[in-house]
Amino acid sequence: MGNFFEWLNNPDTVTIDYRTWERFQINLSLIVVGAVAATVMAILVCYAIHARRLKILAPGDIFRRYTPLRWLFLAIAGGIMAAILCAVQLSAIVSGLSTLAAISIEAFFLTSMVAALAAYALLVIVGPLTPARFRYRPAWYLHSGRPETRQS
Amino acid sequence: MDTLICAGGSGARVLESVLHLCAVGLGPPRLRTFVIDSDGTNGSLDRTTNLVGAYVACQKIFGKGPFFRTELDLLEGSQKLRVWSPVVGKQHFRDVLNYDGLSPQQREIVELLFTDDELKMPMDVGFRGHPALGAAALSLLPLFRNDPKDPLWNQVATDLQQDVTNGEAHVVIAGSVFGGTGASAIYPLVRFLRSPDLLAHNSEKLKIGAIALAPYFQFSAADAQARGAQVDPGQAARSEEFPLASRSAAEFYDYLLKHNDWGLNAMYWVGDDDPVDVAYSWGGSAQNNPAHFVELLSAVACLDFFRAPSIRGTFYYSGPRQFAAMPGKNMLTWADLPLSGLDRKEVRNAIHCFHLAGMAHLGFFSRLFPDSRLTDRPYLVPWYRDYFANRPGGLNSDAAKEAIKPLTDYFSNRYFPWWGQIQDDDGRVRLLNRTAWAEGGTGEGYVQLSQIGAVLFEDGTSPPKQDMDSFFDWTVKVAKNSPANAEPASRYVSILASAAARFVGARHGDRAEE
Repeated sequence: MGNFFEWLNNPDTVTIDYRTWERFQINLSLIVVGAVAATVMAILVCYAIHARRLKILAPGDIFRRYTPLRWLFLAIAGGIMAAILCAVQLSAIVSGLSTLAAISIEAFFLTSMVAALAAYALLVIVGPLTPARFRYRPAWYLHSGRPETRQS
Repeated sequence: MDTLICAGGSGARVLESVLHLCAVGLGPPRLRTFVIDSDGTNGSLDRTTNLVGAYVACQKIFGKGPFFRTELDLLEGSQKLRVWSPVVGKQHFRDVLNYDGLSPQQREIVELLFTDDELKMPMDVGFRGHPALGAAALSLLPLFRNDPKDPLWNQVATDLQQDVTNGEAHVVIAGSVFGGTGASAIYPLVRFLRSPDLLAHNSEKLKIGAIALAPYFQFSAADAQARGAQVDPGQAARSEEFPLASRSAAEFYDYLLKHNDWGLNAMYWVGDDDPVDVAYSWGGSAQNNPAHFVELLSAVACLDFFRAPSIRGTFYYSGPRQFAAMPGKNMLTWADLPLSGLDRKEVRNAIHCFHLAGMAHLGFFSRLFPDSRLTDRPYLVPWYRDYFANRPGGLNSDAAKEAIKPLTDYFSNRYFPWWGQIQDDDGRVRLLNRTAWAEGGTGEGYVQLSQIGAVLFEDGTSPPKQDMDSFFDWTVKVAKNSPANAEPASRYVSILASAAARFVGARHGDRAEE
């Protein structure tokens, strides 16, 4: 696993040596990648189950809000998880609370954003995740205009 | 081409059932049909005439799809059901026979065969259950062969000649054997169709079947009189005499068969020995009995004959059976349909598909399309967005709305009410499970979308819950295979039909025969 956090500057080059900081960067990479992967998986599974449970029983159900997309907010939980793990790792090498908080928040946003975007991209691209009847719901903005002429 | 000649009120109701089965998609590619009825005002005939109009309207729009495939030939390019009668206007029976123009010897023969009351009987509401009168009137059929005032029989002869030149021609004559017009029409018609001067050549290619309806309803003039209804005790048909009339007819046709004077290729006897009570009437618009499963059986027999004309010279019998589940009552299941050429499963699945499509249309899509939210967000229904939204002539256009109207009318005012009558309230008809309908009706507004799949199961059973959701899912999955060059309304029906077929296939259609 590579180091995705090379860009993250060592906050205190006096007390934190180069090797310790690099190990932290590698650990943080693992945490974020693991959190993103787990979160994406969880989002997709929850989304697919929820979408399949969403029934169309009456004409009015067609116009119901498409709630399975709300599972994308699960990315926040992934971000929090990553932030906590990051803080635990960082607390051993950093004493300043502000530094610890700043880096953890960065991990949180990074994990949340990447997980949400990756999950959304996958559920738009991977057709079978969405039941056929809701085919155009995840990316409605692509399908709200005049459809192209199709020949069957 | 296949020809169906319906005689009398029961015959008209058989035509009603035949048309519904044609709508289902079980009919032949083309069907020539007309009715023989001296009571042109009878209510059953009126109902069937209206149904023909509704069918033709749907056939023109949806006829290229799986439903309404059968093209009707109503003769002489007519768009309306032709009704022929040997009686002109309000003639009395003696006028029909041209009694005054007969020689004294001929009059004596007529007086030998008919009573004075019968000779003076007005024919304005048919033969009033007197098959002897009808048979005499219809034996004059050859005289109408070249009638300049009404070229119907001339055209029938010309068309049949053309049919037998091109291959086999199948004619089915349907009517009751216990009433007036039907009972009197079958044999004179067969004799006329077999007469050497009707078909100049290839007459052996003319296959004739008859549907003889045995008593399946009864009425009481005395009860009607007690309720204050107008009763014609002297001349009108009496249901007490139906069994005797049927027995006489059976003996007559048996005699003809044994003496090689039958003329038929098959004769289907259809009836129910547990007749339903109907309101008394001696004819006219009041004679409007509800549809009955015996007429459905007759229609199935008719289409079966068209499909399997290889049936030769035999009587066939069809009716409901007794089951332990309902002692003393007859019950009708899919196994009781008189089928030999048609596949039972095919018939059942086709009816299931049409039913499902109709229920989904009435209960769901016809309510969905007018919703402006769908116009604003067509992607909510993928196939609607792909093939219909924002297109000239799309489903939300006035033209498409007009095109779909006859379909809605057909389902809500013709087909489902007819099934509602067939599936009478006493639970004897077990073909389709009723839980798919809300209490109180079978038309628009009564569809139970949460139980739409129940229709695939026999009545009297507890069907598993099969809701609209999976049907809607199928519409999305099959839409890409719908005919791209079809008119929007037709394409929509095609999507409904394909979804119904997949729904039936997935849920029930492949199940082993009960």
